Amino acid sequence: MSRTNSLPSLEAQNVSFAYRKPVVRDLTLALMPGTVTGIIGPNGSGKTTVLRLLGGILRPASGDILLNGMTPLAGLARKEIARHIAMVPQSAGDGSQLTVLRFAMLGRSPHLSLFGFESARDEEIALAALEMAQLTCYLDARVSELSGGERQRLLLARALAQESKILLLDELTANLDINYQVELMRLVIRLTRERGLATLVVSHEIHLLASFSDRIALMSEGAIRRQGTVSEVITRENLSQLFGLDFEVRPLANGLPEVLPVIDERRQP
Amino acid sequence: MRRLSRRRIAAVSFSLLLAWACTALFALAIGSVAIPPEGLIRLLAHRVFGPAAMEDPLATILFSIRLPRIFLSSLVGAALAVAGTAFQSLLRNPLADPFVLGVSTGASLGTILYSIFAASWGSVQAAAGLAYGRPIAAFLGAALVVAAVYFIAGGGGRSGEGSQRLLLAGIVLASFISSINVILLTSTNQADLRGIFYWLIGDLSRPVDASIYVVTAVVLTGFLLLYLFSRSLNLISMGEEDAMILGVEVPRVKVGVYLIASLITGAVVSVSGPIAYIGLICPHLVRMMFGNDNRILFPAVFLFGAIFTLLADTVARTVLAPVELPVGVITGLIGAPLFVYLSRRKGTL
Repeated sequence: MSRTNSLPSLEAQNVSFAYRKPVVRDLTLALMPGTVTGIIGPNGSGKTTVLRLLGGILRPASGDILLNGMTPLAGLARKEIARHIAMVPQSAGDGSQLTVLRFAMLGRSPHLSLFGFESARDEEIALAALEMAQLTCYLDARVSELSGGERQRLLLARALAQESKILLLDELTANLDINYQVELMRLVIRLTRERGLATLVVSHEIHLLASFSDRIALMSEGAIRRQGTVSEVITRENLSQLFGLDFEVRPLANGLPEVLPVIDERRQP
Repeated sequence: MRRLSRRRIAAVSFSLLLAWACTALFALAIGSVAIPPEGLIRLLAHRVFGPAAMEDPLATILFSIRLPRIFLSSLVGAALAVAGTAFQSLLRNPLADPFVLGVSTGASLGTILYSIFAASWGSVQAAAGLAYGRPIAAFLGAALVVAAVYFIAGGGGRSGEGSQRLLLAGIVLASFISSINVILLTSTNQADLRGIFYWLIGDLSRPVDASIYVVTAVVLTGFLLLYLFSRSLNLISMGEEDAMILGVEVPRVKVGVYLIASLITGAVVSVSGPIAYIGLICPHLVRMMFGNDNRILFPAVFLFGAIFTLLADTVARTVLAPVELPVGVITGLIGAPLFVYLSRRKGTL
């Protein structure tokens, strides 16, 4: 891949953040166009905070977050940021009264002027996003009528309707059946390649990230412990260290590792 | 009807404007002295096209008493309904309104304090300061209560629970300030206890004075400014983080909307007293008719609030004629049961 020459779409340089105690320490991470980056880490390791920092929801206490390798995020208006960065939050707000189409159209908000109304083109873009998320059969249904998996797909559709080059996904596949998880990640990786998106996926599903990420960062206690390509990072030793649990890591035919936690209760006396 | 269009907003606004005009004509005609339709038309035509002022006593009733009162009740209703809509979106709670949040009561405290000080300054300064001083004092009272409610509730409004705490803090503070208001009023001005009593419930029967121009300007400007925030408020009403993700400067919008809503509440309360429930009922009914989008909700609720309050005031001044009730009695009679109904439906009471 010759992507190493291009500038990162979004980049954190020595970013730290603290509420009362430090939550993120000295974070340096680059999201490249056309690449899926995964962050893995135990609960409370600061994954979501990293995502919110990168999305400009939180301001770093120190360090910089740069857009396209040069523009500091801190200097941009929220609307401008929202045109560059789309985010699927872990727990979305309440839009249950809206119809599916209206909800997806909210993704067009950063592109509307002060008095702006959604145009026919905005509706087309929202419809295209819903089609990718396979929700076109629900256009006029209320959001409250959707299942958990459909709601996650709708949030992704809203993010896609933003037409931004950077996509930050927080536990997109949480609480979904495995077949939906794979389906959704396939969609994410296809869009990342086709549109040259810089995608960040924060997830608990190690096996999923190992299969779908180009690069992976391992986080614990607010700091990135390892980062690199999947085969560099996803090793038995690294994962055991991170989670304090034994893992079996086997290379598959396609070169990617297959990850299985070793949970053999019968072995214990 | 998938996309909201300017045309739909214009159509809804025009229909409501027409409904308001009909209500206003009806309200002009009835009262302790009934003016028959042909008399009404003759008087209005003469006023618009006629050569000089008439000595007709009916004309005096119509143009010096009823018309100003219709204007006043429409203005007050529009402002309170719009402020209620803004607070409800901001706090993501359909039970929020200027009265429940204590904003109206705070504004009445400001008004009362101003009147007491103005009386001690002497009549000349008082008359000059009346136009600006009283609405400003009311706004300060309103803003102070908003800050206090926030402080008592421990900030927030982020979650549903937080906004519930804000409402409780508002209700508690409103009853506290009401007591102070009564003490202040009865200890300083014992001449007009009935008037005081009426004003504290919300009353539109007092003669309109020079401050009405300032109040009108504040309400119209505030309404236009709030309208600029309508799409941002749509997003905030779904959740603050989602709104930020979609490009809303959430802290700035929140502060702006709070200030403007308090300002227009303060302005109208300085003339009418704290009228209950208008800001609660009107947005809710308008939402049922036209949906949740603030871009259509704000203009619709502005006009609907005017119609509703005009009707309530017309009932208040005619139902026990020749005795007039304060309008707050009527809105309270309708509003309280509705408040209970809404609370129970939301499972919050």
